[in-house]
Amino acid sequence: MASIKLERLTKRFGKVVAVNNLNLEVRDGEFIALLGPSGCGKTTTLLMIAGIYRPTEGRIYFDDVLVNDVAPKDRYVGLVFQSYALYPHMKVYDNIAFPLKLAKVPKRDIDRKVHEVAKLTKIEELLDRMPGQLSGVSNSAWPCVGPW
Amino acid sequence: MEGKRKIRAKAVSAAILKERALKASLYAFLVVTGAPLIIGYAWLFINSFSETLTYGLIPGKLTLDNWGFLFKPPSPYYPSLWRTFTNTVFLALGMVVVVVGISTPAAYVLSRTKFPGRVQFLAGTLILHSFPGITLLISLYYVLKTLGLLNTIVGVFLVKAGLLMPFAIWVMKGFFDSIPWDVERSALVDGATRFQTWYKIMLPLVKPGIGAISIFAFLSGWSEYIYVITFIQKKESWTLASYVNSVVGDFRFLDYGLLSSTALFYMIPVLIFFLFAQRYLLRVSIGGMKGGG
Repeated sequence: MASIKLERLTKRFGKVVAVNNLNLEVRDGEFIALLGPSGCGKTTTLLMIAGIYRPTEGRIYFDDVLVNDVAPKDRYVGLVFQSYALYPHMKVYDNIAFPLKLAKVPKRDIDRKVHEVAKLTKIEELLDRMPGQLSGVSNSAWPCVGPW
Repeated sequence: MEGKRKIRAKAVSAAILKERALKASLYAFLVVTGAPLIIGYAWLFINSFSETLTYGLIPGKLTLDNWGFLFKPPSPYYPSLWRTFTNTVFLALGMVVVVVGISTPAAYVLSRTKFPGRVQFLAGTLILHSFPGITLLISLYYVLKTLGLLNTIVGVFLVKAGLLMPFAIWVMKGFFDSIPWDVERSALVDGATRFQTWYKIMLPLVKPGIGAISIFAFLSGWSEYIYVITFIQKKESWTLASYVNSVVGDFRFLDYGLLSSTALFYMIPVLIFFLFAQRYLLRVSIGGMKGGG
């Protein structure tokens, strides 16, 4: 875990200002909810923290380390997307294993971990299915099986 | 009661009759419109196996002589058939490699990124696409001559691939457009690099599109005529199009038997290819990916 600090964070898309001068500090272990009408910049803020969007202005710190120029893959941030973004061409098992494979975790450990989380979330019997064969509920349940 | 039922039965049978008549006329229409095509192919097929034809369609004496070109050139004028065949395959596959290899990454960039000139570029490809390729014939001849690519298959498939590229880029862009952003984003958050995201997540999802443009590229390379005839004179570089063309060519009397057998031979690989590719083509018409596709 880490603390997050946003300093004068601003994101503009052309002329549209999505996030305007946001200052926020989230302490280690703190639980924070961003609330607001659609289009107010919640997702943009999260995507900037995850590193998908580059801020137009301002700084993002993780534990007082400036991460503005750190690639998403090196930020170790977990994010559950609005439209639960499963990889449609991979089985549930491979969906869960994908980040572990990218992190070059040994195969046996991947297998153990995937089964662990699957057991925890009670989706063990779904591991062999493709995302298209899942019901809505299990669909939205599984991204919580983020391995971080 | 009894009478009512009879009346109803009569009404039902009248409706059935009407439907049948409609169906029959529909079939009749389709048969008439389809006939020229079917008769054409039937003529080709029958002609290639017989010595003479009466009324154009009834075979006289069955023979395999027309297929002798498979083993031995029909006259010293012709190059080896298998050499020609290999050239044609090379042209078609070369098209596939160049078109898929360039249009897929290009379409991804056009679909996902913003850069100055993007809109103009897209509009430009559309204009290029609507440009009749035949108007470029002479200038392309000079370009290929300067590059030393005249009389080579490589020259032809580079030109053809270039002309097919706008279409391929637009098709592929459509497929990339249909993939939700969140799929790509979650791959990035999951720890993939930009390239890994493209290679491991995006590419598998646009496979139907790649299949489609491969088929298009293959077929357009296989059946290319005008550029092959114009740019390739050397017999070692002939493709099947030049071969069939030379059978029709006016250097001697026209041998219809040879013409139909070579034409059939030219067609067969495409038919086989189509049998296998059909499934892919059908999937394409259903469209790209949506959510859990």
